[in-house]
Amino acid sequence: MNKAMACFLISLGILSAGGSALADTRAVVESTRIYMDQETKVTLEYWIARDRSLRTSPGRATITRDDLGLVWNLDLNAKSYTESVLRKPASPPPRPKPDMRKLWQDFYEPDYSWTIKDTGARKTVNGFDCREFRAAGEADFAEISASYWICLTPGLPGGKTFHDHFLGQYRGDSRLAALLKLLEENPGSLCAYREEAVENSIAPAVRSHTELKKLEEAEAPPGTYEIPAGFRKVEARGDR
Amino acid sequence: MIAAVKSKTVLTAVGLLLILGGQPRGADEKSAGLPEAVRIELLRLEETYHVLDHTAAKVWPGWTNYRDFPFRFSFENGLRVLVGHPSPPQGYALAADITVDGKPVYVDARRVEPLRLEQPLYAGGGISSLGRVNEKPIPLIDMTLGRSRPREEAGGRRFQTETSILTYIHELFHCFQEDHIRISYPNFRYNPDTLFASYSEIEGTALEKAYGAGGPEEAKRYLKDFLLARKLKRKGMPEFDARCESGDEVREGTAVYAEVRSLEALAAGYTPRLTTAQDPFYRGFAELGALLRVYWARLDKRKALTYSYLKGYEYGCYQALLLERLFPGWQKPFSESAGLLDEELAARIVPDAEDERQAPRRFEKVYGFSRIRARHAKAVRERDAAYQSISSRQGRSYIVSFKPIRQFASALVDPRKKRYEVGLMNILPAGAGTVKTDDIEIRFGKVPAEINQLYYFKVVDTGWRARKAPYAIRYEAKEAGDIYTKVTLTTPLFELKAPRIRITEEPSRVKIRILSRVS
Repeated sequence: MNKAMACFLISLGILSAGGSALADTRAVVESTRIYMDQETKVTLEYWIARDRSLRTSPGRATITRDDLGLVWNLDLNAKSYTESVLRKPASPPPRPKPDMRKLWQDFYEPDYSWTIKDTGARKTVNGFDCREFRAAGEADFAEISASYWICLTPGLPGGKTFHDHFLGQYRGDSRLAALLKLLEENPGSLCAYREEAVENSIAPAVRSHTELKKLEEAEAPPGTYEIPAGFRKVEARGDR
Repeated sequence: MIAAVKSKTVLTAVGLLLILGGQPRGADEKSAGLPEAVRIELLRLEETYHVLDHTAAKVWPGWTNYRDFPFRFSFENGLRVLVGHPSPPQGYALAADITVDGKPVYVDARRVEPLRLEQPLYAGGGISSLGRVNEKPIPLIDMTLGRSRPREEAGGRRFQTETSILTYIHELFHCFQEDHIRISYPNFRYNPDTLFASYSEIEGTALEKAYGAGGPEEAKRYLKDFLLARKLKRKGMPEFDARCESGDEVREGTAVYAEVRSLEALAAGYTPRLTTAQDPFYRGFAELGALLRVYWARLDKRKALTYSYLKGYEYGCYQALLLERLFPGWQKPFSESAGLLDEELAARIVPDAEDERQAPRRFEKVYGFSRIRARHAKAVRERDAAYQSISSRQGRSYIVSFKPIRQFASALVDPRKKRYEVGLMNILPAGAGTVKTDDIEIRFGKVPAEINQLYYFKVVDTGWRARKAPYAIRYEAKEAGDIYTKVTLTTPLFELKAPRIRITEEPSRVKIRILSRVS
């Protein structure tokens, strides 16, 4: 644990802004990404309550407050944060004629079409009984191949909350559409392990694997979903 | 001395290299294993350091860190060579018998195909990172070496090693920028309208005239035109886009400036280390005048284009050259203040109200504004119509990807073909014609084609519903995963011959990935 993280967690302890009386869900996810011969490992920790959540990664934290309609992105090293409004994804308004000057400003967003196959393989990942599904996503100028190990066991502690949180976070994301479909078809299910190879349009391929290490119900430390004391608000990039 | 070995494949070469070992030697001594073309490229890098020893201090005060950054060279056959990296990732083996300027050389031959490498090879690339030291990413100059010359230069000058050395200087200056010239804005991405293109051309001509002026006062008069044209150009632009454009001029313009100033500094006298015997494409910067004229010619050509992202390279360079000529000593405060070149000029040359009032008349009289505007209006109309036309084609898409072999698609198309640029999309209304490289050939029919995301051709068959099958295929062998070897693929819109491809077929899309250059 680095100093900033320790400081952040101590701050959480000091700032008891009234945590939830009900048990929240805690999840630990490890992710490894290989890009241009470079391997990057990240451990993410989630705290999820009914109308708020916290996700921490080394040096960063994101607090989502559905009750306030706000998202705070914290830079734990700089002790600063940005605030943005939580927006429900809206369908884009029809635009009969594009503004040619602006066309370039949208980076290429692949719209994948997916095929999913149940391989029938089974294994246990960190105590989760899983079944393997393989998926292939094709877009005009990009492609993804993925293997998802889905735990279909009902009633796991924290399982439904984590399931709903994942769907809420990534709904509409074409890169994860196959996984979202699998989860939506199986209420309460979890993806305990996934491997993905993304062939981007221009950039070199990215390989990654993501593993759910721990899932439990626990009481969140006081102040988990609050901005720690001493953090200053800064302008988000693009807020000009 | 171990005799030089010319091997057909680099796999053999690297095998030899690893077996032979021996004492490290400079790149100027013959390496036993690396192909001659690779060895020559390493000699060019070594010569780059020698050139910069003579010029860097004259380019920018404090530029001394040009030896601090590792290089990676990626060759068309898949061979990758890493120079001076403190912690090479897995897959790179030390080439024990060669160094570059005393730096170790590492070779990754895991993805090599049997394509013979031969000079001349054109260098292009940019800055990325590879690995970490003390949790900090290690910056890397990532170069790709290929036989395709830049499209703008097709049919132009013959290859000269000096161009590669100047490219390496350009990239090394980008590394210097990291800590010495702050650029706070992302890349400029904007498709010009008529107003933008017209005033942009005035800007370019004004820079040309200022640089060619007989004296400082005349130069300043034209720089006022540059500033006034810029103001008019940006009237309808968001402030952020305007600053991105100026940011690109700093980023790329000062890197081109480093090339030009290096050439100017060499005029004082230079004794090359690299010889023509070692590299037959090198003339030791003996033709400085001709090399300098290339930059002027680029400015002259690009200024008149309705759109070229590359305009910023020359516009920035000539702003910096004029600042240097008219206001020597400008660089140090510029570095400290995170400035923009046009703002530096505007702070020193201020058009008054009368200049502003007279600008339209002067632009007409001196630059022929109406004629310029009419030309760009026509080009913008044609571009927009081409975009509408290609976007409205509905049917079965055929996409041919050259990404697996790292081949830019646009470099394969006859440069005389009419094309329009919309961001990263190139539209070819009359088709892409015949494209050929190594053992790959595609004969496109006369249907509108698109090049997108650098590596992909896309054509759409609007009459697909009437057809029984999307393509017919002949091949020598088929592997799992729909991979075909020695293929002839015939579609309603093109015929493709290639050594190895993979096909993915969906009802409304057929994707063909080119997996190999040679059989």
